[in-house]
Amino acid sequence: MATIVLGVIGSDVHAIGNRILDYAFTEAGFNVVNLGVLTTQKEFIQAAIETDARAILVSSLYGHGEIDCRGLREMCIEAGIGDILLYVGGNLVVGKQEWEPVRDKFLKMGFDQVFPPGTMPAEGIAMLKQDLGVS
Amino acid sequence: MALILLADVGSTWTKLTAVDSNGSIVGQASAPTTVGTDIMEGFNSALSEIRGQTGSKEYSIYACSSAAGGLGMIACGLVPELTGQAAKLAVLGAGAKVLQVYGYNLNEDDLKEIDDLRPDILLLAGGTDGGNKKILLENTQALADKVSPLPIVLAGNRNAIHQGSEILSRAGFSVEVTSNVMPELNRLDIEPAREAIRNLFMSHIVKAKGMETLSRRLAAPLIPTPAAVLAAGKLLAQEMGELLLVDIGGATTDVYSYGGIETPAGMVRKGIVPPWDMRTVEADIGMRYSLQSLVEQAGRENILAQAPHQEQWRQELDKILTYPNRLVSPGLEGLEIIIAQWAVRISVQRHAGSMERVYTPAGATDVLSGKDLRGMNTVIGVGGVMVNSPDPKGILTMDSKGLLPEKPRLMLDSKYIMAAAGLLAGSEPRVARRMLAESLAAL
Ligand code: B12
Repeated sequence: MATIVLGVIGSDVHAIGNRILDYAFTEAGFNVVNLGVLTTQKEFIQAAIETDARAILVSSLYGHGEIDCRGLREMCIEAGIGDILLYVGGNLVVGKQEWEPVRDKFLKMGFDQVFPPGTMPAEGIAMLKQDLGVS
Repeated sequence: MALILLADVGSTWTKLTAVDSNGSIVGQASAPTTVGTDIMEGFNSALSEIRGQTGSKEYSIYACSSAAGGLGMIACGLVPELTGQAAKLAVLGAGAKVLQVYGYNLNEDDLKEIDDLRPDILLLAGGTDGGNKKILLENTQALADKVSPLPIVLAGNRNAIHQGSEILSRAGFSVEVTSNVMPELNRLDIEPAREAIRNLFMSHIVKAKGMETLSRRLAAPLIPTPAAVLAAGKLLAQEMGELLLVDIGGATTDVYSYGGIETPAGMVRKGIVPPWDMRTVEADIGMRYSLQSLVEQAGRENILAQAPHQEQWRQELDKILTYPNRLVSPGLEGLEIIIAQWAVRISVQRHAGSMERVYTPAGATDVLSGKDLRGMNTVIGVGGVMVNSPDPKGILTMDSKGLLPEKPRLMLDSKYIMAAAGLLAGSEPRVARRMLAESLAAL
């Protein structure tokens, strides 16, 4: 089954959602490489290269997602894995903001899928299977 | 029962130690290593001295060697901080000298350099199991195409090593296939690779004339000297708990640690979980050939700051920097002690991991990577520099900052038998323990 890299980006220590995602994606048959909390962009990319991952799933819960995620796609391109799927979810920005502009901002940064607060793991799993063309 | 003879065929000296079946040292002798002609010459001359001391003719002989440059290896991985680091740690743990480490695809310059360096063995890793296969296979192909055959240990992605082995074998390389040094991200499994390296070492690597003659007389395969030291330390750690060995040489300083891999509560670990028994080598830290770079690292003024007579020390330092083989002038041994102290500090600092405090909106969190040496309760000085120094305690004393040992007791391998004892660690652990107990002196 496809390998995915999972982690919570930046100085974010919210660990609970990360463990749930690890469990849910593993149950769904993915080979999950979980980097846990406090993960840097570089760690995501190095892990993806070494494990030949098909997707990187980034969580950001504490409101600084925009700063932490900026440039991730460009770094993937530099590292030779520019085609990898990038997903992001959690509480991406501070407070309750209108969703559409937030999503567009992250899509523009090069993420393939952007999930709003409170997304259930099942939604992410279904989307990933679709994007990877696996069942 | 026959006495046991333990030989350490070093780069300059061949040191022999004879012990009885209780581990009591009954003879010790050394002679210059004769790599130029036949290493058996030096060995036999030390042996005749031992015979004189013990009156015995029959010995069961064990040996380690670092003669003729020791076991020189190259490590290749994919991401330098991941499988590159894993490969390097495996090479060091096998007792080899790291000539070079490469990551990602080997390019033309790398291949040329490999061909020029002519390592005894090249360890090729890359990809976690089920992970990246492409780079490992491309690297095997590149080696097959551009480098003249040499012994290879293949310890990468299990889904690529067999194909890789075929490519290399077809090109005339001797290949030992073994388990991945990093089967899962950040998890090391380097013992199988170390083992494969030792196997190749004894079957393929004849470093000097006479080595084969010696090998035929041995009760167990010849191993690299650092591998014997690593084994001795392991035996000690089983009894004494977490510990650190430091061996300052002329060209390099070796540090061995046992333990320090737990993640303390409240900390987050990042990166590779280091091996429980870990060896690192600082190639730019040594008392003779690497003195220049050691002094640069320590800072000339920092060294001189501790001098009772600055000007005298300054002149002396210039002299030993210009003539590394020159002995320190009488009365100025203090300078050498300070330099050795810096060698210990720098090497142990590099061996240790790092702890970075990240300030998050919820407060500070400590992120740990590498080894946590704070719990090392013993630090043991090993090797000639320490044994011959008037102040080994001073040399081994370090500030307990960061992840360095907090309140270690300091000890000395006073009889210089660490490597010799390590030769018996596997087959005669009881004898080895007795030897170590006899040699270890509290400082
Ligand atoms: C517990 C908690 C903490 C604990 C965390 C303990 C720990 N080690 O995990 C502590 C006390 C440390 C903490 C600290 C902070 N927190 Co807090 N915390 C929470 C709280 C109450 C619950 C988080 C949680 O575990 N939820 C349960 C899990 C299962 O849900 P989840 O994390 O959202 O993850 C799920 C989904 O989002 C989704 N998902 C997540 N990522 C991704 C990615 C993909 C690709 C997909 C498909 C899905 C997906 O799937 C996950 C599993 O179901 C939330 C409020 C809330 N009710 O959510 C605030 C909350 C997240 N914290 C918040 C804040 C502001 C902070 C602090 C900055 C300061 C503070 N107010 O205390 C610090 C930041 C610390 C840091 N450096 O990260 C805010 C964030 C606001 C924002 N983004 O605008 C929240 C929303 C509270 C609030 N309403 O203000 N927090």
